[in-house]
Amino acid sequence: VNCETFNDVLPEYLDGTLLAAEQAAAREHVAKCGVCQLAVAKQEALARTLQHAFNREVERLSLSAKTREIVLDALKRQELEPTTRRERLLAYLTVPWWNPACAGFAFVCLLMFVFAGHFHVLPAGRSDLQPMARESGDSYVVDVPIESEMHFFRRRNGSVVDAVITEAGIISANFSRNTHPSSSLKQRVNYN
Amino acid sequence: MAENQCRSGTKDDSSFDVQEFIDSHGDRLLRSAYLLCGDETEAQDLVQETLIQAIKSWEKFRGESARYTWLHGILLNLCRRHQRKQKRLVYDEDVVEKAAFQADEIREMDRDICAAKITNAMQNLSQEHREVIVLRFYEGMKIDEIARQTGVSKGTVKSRLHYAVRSLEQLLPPEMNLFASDGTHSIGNP
Repeated sequence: VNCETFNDVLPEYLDGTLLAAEQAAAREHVAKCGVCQLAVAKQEALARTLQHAFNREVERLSLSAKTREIVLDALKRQELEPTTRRERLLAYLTVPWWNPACAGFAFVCLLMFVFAGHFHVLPAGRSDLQPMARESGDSYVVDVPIESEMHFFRRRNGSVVDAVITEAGIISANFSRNTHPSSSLKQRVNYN
Repeated sequence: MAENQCRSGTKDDSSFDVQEFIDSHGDRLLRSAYLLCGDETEAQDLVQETLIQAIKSWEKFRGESARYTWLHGILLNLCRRHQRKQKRLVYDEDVVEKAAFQADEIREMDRDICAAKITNAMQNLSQEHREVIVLRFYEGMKIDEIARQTGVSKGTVKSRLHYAVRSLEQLLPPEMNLFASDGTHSIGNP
């Protein structure tokens, strides 16, 4: 051990956390080296000084009654909350049905379920857009109606006017019988 | 007393008396928080937040360290978050603190003022430097314990400690010698 290597391990030497052999070698070096003795003394003095200053500065402090009260209240609330998975599940299942959030969500789901089909068939429900089938042999063609909307935005007197133009278009879908024996498909659809 | 026990599921025991812990370690935690943040009200808030977080995450305590060390880790994280918010304010105060040290004034310092000067100077250190100083010289932790607590290597801890002490020396007036055998000129064992 020389002065340089001792300086590197000085904090651990003071902590006593070096390996036994290293600690002994460091101790032996310090016994012979005045510079390192001074380094050790300085570190010990620094520790004493700061410890003394800190203790002197903070000894007047103690945890306030309000802080204690708040922490213990938090603890009581925590005790009431479910901790295990089973308790959490039970707590979830016992949520009252009239809970506004749950009831609202259920109502929206019900509405979506009831009206989803209606919204889906609405464009095709118009009389002028009924599909027309034209059969020819093993295949037939269905005209499938589609609606599209175009929005025109125009600025008028400082405000934006939105004009919506709805267009009805037709695409033809060609259905024909599948003649391939190994296929389970009965129909083949070609969209034009 | 039983109502203040925390359901924990920890490795060392099945329940833990929070009231008893606050009585035995609350003040120490507060004092450490004060040294880290430099304000008593903030320290009270930080300890309160630390204890509440600890209660909420009690199941995460694996029993690998002492409870106080675990709680101190939570406190350190909260202090860091707090310091990030207060960074601007700290830098503004820096100028004031340096101006406050006048050579004539130093000679009249008594021990309390000297201790206060050191504690105030601590607030001008960076968060990392303040942490290692508090952990080393107030909490009395060893280098490897500080490394575990702060999540850095032992080499980094030693380096931070070296530069932290150097910065502290620069922040204090030259009359205050941190390395004097009896402490500073004004501070020391009677």
